[in-house]
Amino acid sequence: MGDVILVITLLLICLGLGAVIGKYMARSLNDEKICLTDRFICRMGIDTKSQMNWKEYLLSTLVFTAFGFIFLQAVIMCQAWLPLNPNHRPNLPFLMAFNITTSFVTNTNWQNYAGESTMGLFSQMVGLTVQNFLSAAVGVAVLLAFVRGLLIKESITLGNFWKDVSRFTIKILLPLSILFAIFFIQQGMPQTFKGTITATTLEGKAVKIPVGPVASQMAIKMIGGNGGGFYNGNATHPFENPTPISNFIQLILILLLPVSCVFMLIFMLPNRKEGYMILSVMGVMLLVGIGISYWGQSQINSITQMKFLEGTESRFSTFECSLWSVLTTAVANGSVNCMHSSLSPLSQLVALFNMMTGEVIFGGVGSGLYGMFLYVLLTVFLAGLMVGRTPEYFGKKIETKEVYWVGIALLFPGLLNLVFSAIALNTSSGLSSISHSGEHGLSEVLYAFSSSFGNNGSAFAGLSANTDFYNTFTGMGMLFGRFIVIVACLVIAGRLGVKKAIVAGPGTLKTDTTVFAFLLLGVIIVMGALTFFPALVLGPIAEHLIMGQ
Amino acid sequence: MKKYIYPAFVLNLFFTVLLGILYPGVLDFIGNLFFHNRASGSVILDDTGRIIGSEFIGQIWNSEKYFWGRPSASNYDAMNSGGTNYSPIDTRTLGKITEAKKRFQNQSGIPEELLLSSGSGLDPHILFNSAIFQMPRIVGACEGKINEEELRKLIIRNSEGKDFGILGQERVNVLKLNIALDKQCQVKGSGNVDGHK
Repeated sequence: MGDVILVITLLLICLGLGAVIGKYMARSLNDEKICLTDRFICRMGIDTKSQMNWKEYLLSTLVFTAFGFIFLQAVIMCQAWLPLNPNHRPNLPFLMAFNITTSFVTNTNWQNYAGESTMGLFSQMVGLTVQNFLSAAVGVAVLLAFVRGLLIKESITLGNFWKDVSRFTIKILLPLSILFAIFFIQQGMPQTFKGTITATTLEGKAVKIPVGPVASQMAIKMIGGNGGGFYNGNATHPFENPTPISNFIQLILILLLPVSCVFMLIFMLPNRKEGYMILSVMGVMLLVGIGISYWGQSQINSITQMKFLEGTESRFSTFECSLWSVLTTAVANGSVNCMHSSLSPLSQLVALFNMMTGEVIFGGVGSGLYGMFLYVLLTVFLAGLMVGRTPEYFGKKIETKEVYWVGIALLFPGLLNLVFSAIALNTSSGLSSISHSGEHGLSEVLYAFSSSFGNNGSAFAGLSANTDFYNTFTGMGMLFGRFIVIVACLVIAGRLGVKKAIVAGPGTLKTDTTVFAFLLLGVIIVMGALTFFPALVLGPIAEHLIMGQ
Repeated sequence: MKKYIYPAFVLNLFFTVLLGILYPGVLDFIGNLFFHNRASGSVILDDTGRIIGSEFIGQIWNSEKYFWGRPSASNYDAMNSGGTNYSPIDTRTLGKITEAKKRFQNQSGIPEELLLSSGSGLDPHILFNSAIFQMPRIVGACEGKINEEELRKLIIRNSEGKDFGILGQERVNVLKLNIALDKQCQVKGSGNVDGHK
């Protein structure tokens, strides 16, 4: 009963706060007037006034991310020579650094390293924290451009990338992060520039406890949908998640901005029902996932004859653990408050499926919603084929070229995911990292690549991911997973923008109805199932069956 | 191309200063001003002012006279947090369980969490019942300096309930409980316990 109250309270808070923040985002990010932020950015010689077409917007996105990449790569490869390195962490080798950098600039935060024993404080703060902010801002900028493409008529202008990125970072991300970081310090997260506490236990043993600017990084880690921890244990670590209250607040933060993005859409649309339709589809999928995962996690493991308590923390309940695992994979967050590798097989299945569908159940900050739009366009196209009419969305005709790009964005990451997994399972360099034989070994690889392509970042951490093979392949996976979809979305936005909007007639397929919502739900599930069902059967489903024997 | 390179470079630089230096710096200032102990890692000092540990970081306990925490994948090495990552059907878990049971001399009814490793490997808590379960051993090791009733009261005093009735679990912070216990039960010669006086 307490668990039901918990999840209802959580969702209501997220919807309420999401509506408020979403409305503020819709207003402040689209405001034509020059605001203080714009003026400040302008002062630095950056043009925030002129409007960009899709090509310019895309190039800005890519070049901006490229510079973030170079900065971060340089910082972590040179951290030994930089200040604020009290624990004397060495420079990181190129491929390892490439993987980390890719991971943070794509909002994935897959971690091939253990934070406390690898990263200097300067790298954590000036390197990783900054990209936590900016990668989330890029996601929202692309989303904004996409929505503008839907709404404008016979125009090529999708907005100004520099303005969108800086407004979102300064007006939304920064204030929220400051607020919650202070709260997290109060709950027990360290925020200091000292590197280590040295203590002598009651039994006379000397111990070292690593500390640092944890709260500032954890606030944006949760808010920006990043999920990369300061410590190896991520949010299981007591310094990253000290109390049940900090746990609850972090659960809210996982959902907060992704929900806000949907509300921002709702407040930008002339017909808000279109937005509510998307919101309800996401909500239904989330609730079903939470239900299945909790059911699985509350069973008794027939191998140990015990509950699934391996990899959990005593301050969090079974439900709080399974709930987190669903939210963090539905939304492209990727933080964990219990070890996913030790989850019940059904909970593993839900987490994997969430990531494999491209994380569109609220999804990453910005990226979840533009991913969802691709499914909407596909559904519109399929429905159009069924009734034999040219498909339309927002009065815009969906034609060959658009469907072509939708196909690329929806199919390629999944296809490459399977290809990369297959390569890993057929080469000794791929197999040698696996820590389990049999079904779970397959799941480890599948999870790694699904997490990379979905830009999630959580892991079955038994896999030793810091090898040349996985650094290269998961790195490529993260880049493809992020940028194939971004390119496709901006191309589609540009193409839709220049079209005329046709007035809806009696034969137009309505996209704000329950029927359409069911159709969309069906398309998402069928797409995910068709692509991944065989792999899932061999992994978590087989594991579930073995456990049930 | 210059149209993109200049703003991309300058914005990255600007945000690096704002978000990478000013933001954590300001929080460090605020944190230390209002929550100094929390911000510096919630350390616990003994009577002589020496650091015993952090409230939030579990420690390893060898002596019979202390409450024990959960098994840890890294043996409570705070420089190496993380779990075992064993899958539910991994038989290595069974070996770990046998090992953990031996520590409790294969008593019946050992709480499950005392046999299964925590996620962080640094779990500072055990469940309330896991503390109650360990009472007979502690009373024995304390050689009559504390009886079950007093010990139960001590556990209750050091336990933390669910927040708002629904968040978290009823639990005990092992380090805090052991410090409180230490004040009542100073036994010499059992393990190397004399570090704290």
